[in-house]
Amino acid sequence: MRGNKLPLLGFLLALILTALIVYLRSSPGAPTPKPWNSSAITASYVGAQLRQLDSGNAALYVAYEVTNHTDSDYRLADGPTAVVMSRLRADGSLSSQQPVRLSYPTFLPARQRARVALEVPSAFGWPDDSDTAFQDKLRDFINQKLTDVQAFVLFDQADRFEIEFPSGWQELKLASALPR
Amino acid sequence: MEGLAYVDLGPDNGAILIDLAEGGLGFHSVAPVSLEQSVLVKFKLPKASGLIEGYAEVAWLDESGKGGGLRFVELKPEQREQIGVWAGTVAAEAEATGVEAGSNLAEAENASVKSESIVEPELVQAPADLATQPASEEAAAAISADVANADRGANAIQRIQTENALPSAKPSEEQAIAAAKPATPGGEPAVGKPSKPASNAAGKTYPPAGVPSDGISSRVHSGIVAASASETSVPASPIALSADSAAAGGGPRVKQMPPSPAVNSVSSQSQDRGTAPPAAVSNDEGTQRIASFSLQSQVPARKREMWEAQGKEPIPNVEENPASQALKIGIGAAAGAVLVLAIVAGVPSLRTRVLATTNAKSAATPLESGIREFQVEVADVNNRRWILKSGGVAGSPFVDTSSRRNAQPAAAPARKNAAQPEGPSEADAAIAEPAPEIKQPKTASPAELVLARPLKGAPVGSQAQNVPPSIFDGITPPIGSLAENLPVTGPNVPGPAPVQPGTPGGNLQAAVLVKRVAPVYPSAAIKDGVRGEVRVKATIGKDGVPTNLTAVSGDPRLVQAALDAIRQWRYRPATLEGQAIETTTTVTVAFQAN
Repeated sequence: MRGNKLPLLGFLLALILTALIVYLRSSPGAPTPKPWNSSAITASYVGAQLRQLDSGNAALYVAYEVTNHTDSDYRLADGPTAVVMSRLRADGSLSSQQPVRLSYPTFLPARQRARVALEVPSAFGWPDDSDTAFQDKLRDFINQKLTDVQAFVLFDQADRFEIEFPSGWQELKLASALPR
Repeated sequence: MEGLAYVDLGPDNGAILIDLAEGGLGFHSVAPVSLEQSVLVKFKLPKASGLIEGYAEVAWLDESGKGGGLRFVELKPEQREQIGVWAGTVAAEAEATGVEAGSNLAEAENASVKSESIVEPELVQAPADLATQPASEEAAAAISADVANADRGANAIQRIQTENALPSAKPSEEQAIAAAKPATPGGEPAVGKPSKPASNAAGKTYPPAGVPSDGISSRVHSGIVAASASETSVPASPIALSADSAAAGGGPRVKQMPPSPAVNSVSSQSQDRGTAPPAAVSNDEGTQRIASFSLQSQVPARKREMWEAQGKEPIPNVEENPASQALKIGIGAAAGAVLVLAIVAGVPSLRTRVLATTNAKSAATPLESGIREFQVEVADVNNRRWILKSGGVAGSPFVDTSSRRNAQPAAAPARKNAAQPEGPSEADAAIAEPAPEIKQPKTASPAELVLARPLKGAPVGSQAQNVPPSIFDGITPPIGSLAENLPVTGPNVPGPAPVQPGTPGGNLQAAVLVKRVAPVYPSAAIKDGVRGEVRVKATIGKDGVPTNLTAVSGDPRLVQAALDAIRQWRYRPATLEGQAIETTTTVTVAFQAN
């Protein structure tokens, strides 16, 4: 063995040994959670709808088109293992202050796309048609729900999927604030 | 002798110093020289302060005309004495170390000098123990590594420092030309060839350096390493003493060996072979006379390959110090471990940093200016739909002030016309018949609220299906499906009317309130602080107009106000199999003073 190959030999041996140690230390007994897979299921913004549920309640629906990039079928459903959070625009942190849920479950076959809606329900006194501030009240409500939100994120704890529902909205300018 | 000792032989020629005595020196030149040629010589003795400089003439030459001896013809006496003192010191040190005098590299180099009276030295491998003998500080001379290369003008010379004192005879008072004289085939001594072996102080014979027979040089000053040296050379790092070509018959037998970095022996280069086979010198008595030199630690791989490419014996691998090997392995192991740990520990943190950077970057983006115009569809419980558009984005057409001024009034009356019909017939027109065409401004207003109109000619009673398709059709739940499950909240707002269909069964669609007018709070009731709910039973006709209003409960002071308001309400009638039917319902109107 040439002398200049000795460091290489040692390097390889240590590489194998250290990798083995790391593997053995990490695999048994202390299972570490899989990292969140944020690329398996992706979503793109489609549109938003403010729906009056009744005289005192409304819900904001944000529609998305989700794509399954995997070779496995996927069922997107609201449940105990699925958590939808808001990613705040200010610093990118997550928040559950605003309740968000999947409007309905969706079956997403492998390599297929489907449309889903996230639902942000809230108490809202729907303004009267005759209200001169009718539009601004609606805009104000929508802004209140969306302006501070950068995106919605669904964490599927079962499959470790992280689905980001990106922003597609802007702040709605209030008519009363516009110059006449 | 430190460094190369060159002999200046003119502008196009030069030589290296092979041997040195008070009377002259031995050399090997690059190009042939001629006898009696006068040359200027310059060299420096070890530990000497100045150069030895003087003129000499070629005293003898070998057959090639490149090797021979120079006789000093013009040399300062003090310099001549300096040479003598130096040679004597070398010899004395050699004696002190017990090494046989007379053995020097020059002898070895010139061992081919043949004389019947000289026992041919045999070059053998030097024993290892001799290699560890104490070194002479001056022995150092270096050995020319590649005379053959020098022949080719390549000047590939190896410097080898001697560790041992070179045995040498004491300097003679006689002038000597310490030039080695190669033997001639047939054993005939050449001119200037020494006729007998020199002997050292111990009386042992040794192959002398070439001594001209003309008597100019009577003694050989051994210990003078003629071949100078450079640091590296051809695979000649192992130092061996080689004599001239063994083919010379009477010359010393040279064992040509591959260079081995671990070998301590005296070596020089055969001028004919151009390589430096390691060897040692032994005299006729078998006594090995070794000049030990410091060694190259390792033969460079390229040199090794060159050596082996010449078809010579492969160079044995060097056995490294186990500690050195362990150190190298340890260094490599540490590097590998660091790499693995860096990967294990660094990748997650790197990913975290990337995500944090991405988040921070996206968070720093105020609003997605690149997205298309933001629109929000607004739908009330009666499935009337509007479009709320964003605006005010720089560069968008919606910032145009004039269009905004023009568009705003255009949208508001349209909504008013559609949402606030004054009577049942107008309400029907707003719901069942297409409203007057709303002029869409060329550039929409950011505050624009566009009413989604029912389709023209749609049958009455199915207005909900006449709403233009929306992207949310099929995405969001149907109108009313959620509201019925949610509690009614908010003051002064009646909940959705629970319409009871008159006929059960079939494809039944409940009546839906499409127009609500807030009740007028009686001023007397406000003054008295009266509040509460009024429940009114009503019949929703096929035209959607509530009739047969009957107060079921509530403060009497509030009942009339509630009835007056409900009469203005309009419903989308319930349908059964697509046909409008009459239904009854109970409406609750809440009064709550602010």
